Amino acid sequence: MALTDTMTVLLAAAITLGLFSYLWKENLAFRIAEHAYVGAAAGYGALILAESAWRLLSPQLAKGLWYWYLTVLLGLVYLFFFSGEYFWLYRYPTAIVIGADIGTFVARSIKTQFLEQIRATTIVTNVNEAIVVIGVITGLFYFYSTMERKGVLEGAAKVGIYFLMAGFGASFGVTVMARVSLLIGRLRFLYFTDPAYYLIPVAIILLIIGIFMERSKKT
Amino acid sequence: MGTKSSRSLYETLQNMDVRYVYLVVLLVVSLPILYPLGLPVGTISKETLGLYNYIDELPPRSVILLIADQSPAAAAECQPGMIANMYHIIAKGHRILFYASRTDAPPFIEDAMKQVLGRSSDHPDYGKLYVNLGFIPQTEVGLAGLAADVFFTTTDAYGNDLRSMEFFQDLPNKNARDWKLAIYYGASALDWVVRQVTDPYGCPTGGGVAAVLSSRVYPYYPHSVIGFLTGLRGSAEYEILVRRPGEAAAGMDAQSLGHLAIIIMIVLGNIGYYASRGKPRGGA
Repeated sequence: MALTDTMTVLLAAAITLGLFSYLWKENLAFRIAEHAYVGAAAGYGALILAESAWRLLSPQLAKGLWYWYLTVLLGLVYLFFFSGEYFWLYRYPTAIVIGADIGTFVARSIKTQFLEQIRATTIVTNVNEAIVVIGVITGLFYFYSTMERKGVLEGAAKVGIYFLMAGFGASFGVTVMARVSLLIGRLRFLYFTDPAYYLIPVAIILLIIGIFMERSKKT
Repeated sequence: MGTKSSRSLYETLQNMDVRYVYLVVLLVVSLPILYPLGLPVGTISKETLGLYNYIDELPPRSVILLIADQSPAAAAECQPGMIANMYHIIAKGHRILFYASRTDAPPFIEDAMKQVLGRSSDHPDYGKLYVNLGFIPQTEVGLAGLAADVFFTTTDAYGNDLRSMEFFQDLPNKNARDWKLAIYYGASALDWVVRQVTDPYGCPTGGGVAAVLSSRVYPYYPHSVIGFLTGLRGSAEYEILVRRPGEAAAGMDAQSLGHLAIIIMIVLGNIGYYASRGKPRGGA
């Protein structure tokens, strides 16, 4: 293994263990790892964005399409974010980007997330789909506040809350599953990547020293 | 006396330092990783089978868009599924168009290509069966542009001209109508892929999502999303289907025991809560 690969693995293991150390308590190793991670992610993201922007732009400029330079100009206007006097200029590229995002989203979402969902919900071919229909209708009644909840409305809202709780329970269950998966991924890296596992005994020793130091301070 | 001692045990559980819980989870998850138990994965879910069967039945050389949206955090769950999926797609002789929708996803495409194909841009079939478009900014807007015109980026991730590639020559529309499937890997609800690819162009969506997002995919399944892999378990199921047990299958023992430990702790916590409910809290 090349020296750079070894150093990369050791650094990744040290940052992983540093971030895990938060489970004991907030400490210097955690803060160093946290800041290094955030800084590296931001730097890496900026580099990839700049590289991809240039990759998309350069073929257009090579064709002599001068108006593409306007996109560069518009991008540079973002830098007025740091100016007190000309901060208002920063709002123009922001408005264009947000406007494009919202326009792209809204135009399609009416069909995908509204009309199609209603259509798919109303088609009932088996018991499961019937349960979905009951869940959707009673769940909506739980949020219906225009009329006082009495009689049928109250009963429907009560059934609705059970459907909502079942939904939240399922979400909680898969969230736990996801977090355990992430832990498995990191532990497999620490246990099986050479030379990452050499840092595990070091971390354990540092943890024991930390616990003893904390106890001696208390006494 | 007996009630008092049992009450105090429940209270001890209630007031236990949470770090003991972390330690228990760490030990329970670590042991099967170091000493695999070989627990069965169980029945393959119909969501996983939906994706597998759809790919299996596509005619050879079908174009499949593979969207990498996994962050380093989600990669533990999604990457094994993407790799198993690629083995299947390649074995069936389909074409893959890679695209990264977030800045930290391109290395995962590169890693998957190297692991499955052995090489990436220097593979002999690159430009014929595989094309990597790299990162395209502005997630949904970027995908909308790509779906409308496959030459939207003009070059691939390595700066090669797309129009000259054999991959695109026999495609009649040069847009998402030519794609037979769009597979999303990452930690979002893939609703934006359905919005920009499935509904306007009729190309179905598949996916491998972080488990935490799976409940948000169900509204689109099976009408728009033909099948999807739920977290590490879905990835393990796909690895078993393609007979290439890998990282996900290896992690299933740990996942099963980790869940068991958490379930036991939830049950104990609830017993402690109900047992101590009538008792006044606090000192003085």
